[in-house]
Amino acid sequence: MKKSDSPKVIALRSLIALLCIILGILIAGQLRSVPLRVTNPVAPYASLKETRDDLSQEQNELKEEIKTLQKEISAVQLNMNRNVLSEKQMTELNLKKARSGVTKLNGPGVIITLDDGSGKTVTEDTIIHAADLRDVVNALWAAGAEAVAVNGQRIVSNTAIDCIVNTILINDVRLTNPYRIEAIGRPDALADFLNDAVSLSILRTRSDRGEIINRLEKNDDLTLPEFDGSLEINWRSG
Amino acid sequence: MFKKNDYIILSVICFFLGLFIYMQYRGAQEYSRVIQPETNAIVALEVSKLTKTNANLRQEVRKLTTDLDTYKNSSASEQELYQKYLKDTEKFDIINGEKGASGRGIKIIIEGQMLVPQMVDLVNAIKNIGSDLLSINGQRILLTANLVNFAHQDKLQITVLGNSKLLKSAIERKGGIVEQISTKEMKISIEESEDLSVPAGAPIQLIQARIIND
Repeated sequence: MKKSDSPKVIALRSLIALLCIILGILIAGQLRSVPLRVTNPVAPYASLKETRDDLSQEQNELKEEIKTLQKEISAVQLNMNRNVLSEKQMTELNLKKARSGVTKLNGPGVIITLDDGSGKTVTEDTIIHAADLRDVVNALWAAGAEAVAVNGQRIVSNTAIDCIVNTILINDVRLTNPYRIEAIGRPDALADFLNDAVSLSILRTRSDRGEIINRLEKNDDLTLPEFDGSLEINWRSG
Repeated sequence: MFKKNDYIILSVICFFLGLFIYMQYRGAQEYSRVIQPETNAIVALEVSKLTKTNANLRQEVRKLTTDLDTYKNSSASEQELYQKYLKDTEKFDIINGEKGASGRGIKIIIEGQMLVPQMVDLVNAIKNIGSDLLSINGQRILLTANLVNFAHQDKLQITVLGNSKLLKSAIERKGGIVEQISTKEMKISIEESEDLSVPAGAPIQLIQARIIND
């Protein structure tokens, strides 16, 4: 056996060969990651973000327009010729509108504030999720609430509470924490129900552990905004 | 022992190796910084939702503008105005549950018990996809419905009025609500129908709330 073929030399050659293979793979990877043509990986993202901002702006404008039109229609209906509609019919129409959520309502009720925990450790339990809001809103209806709004978004018959990553969407409007849930109804009844509701036990436990903020207060003078979206029924026959 | 040349070769290789690893790491970090937390896919999803919502809002603006014109139009006959009033009243009656309605939609049959969160999430998902009206086991689901009452039942039949094709495909798609809530013990089937009925229900009573007309 030659001296150059000693186990140490063989080990060294093997090591160099291995390192060269790794280096080759990295160089190949680096070369492949360099595009042949000039491209900007951020451009599609920036463009999408710009489109989203434009659409959000348009949404706000459309909602304002809807609010204005609804107010104008109500005003015209109120002043309509009494030959067409009686006082009673007008009152009934207003009540139907109020029940469906397209008019502002005022009254006593409760305010629930939900917010993410302030601790340094972030886990699933320290963040307020769309599901938490759904549970609270569902409990409020069960408790006898007459109207509910979350961060100024009125909950109506077709409202869904959903999320895209860390943003909560209500009536397709992006909402961020803290979440202020306002409900009109008998304050004591609403508060008692929420404090005892089995469906909110996990939320209360998280709050007791200090993982989230969950505050409930009674209020005698709440004003809930009108719904400013579309309430059309599109798939009914006849 | 290694020779001096061996150490030089090893050092050069290790230097380049380290350099490339660092470059790859920095590149990945920089890319994440630019893209996170909102990836292209997430923003695209928001854009898609906003586009759909804005289309509905534009349609609502057009409808309300026409309604306002009808009410304002001095040449409109009393009969026309009264018809408009009846149409508006009927719409709100259906939305509030004072009247039922029939139309196209889907029927979801669930065999096996569901928990309360599953019920809440399922109804929310149906609304999110886009439904006009819905009922569970023949009971109209209005705003005030307490979904707790429908959990833990052996069989549920959910009737949804809306775009049947869209509803069925969205509910059944991979990763959709059916996949999220279903368990081994549960059997869920969905069928489209051209003629479904959703009954009337008990409308919300405004006792504490006062209407503000401003």
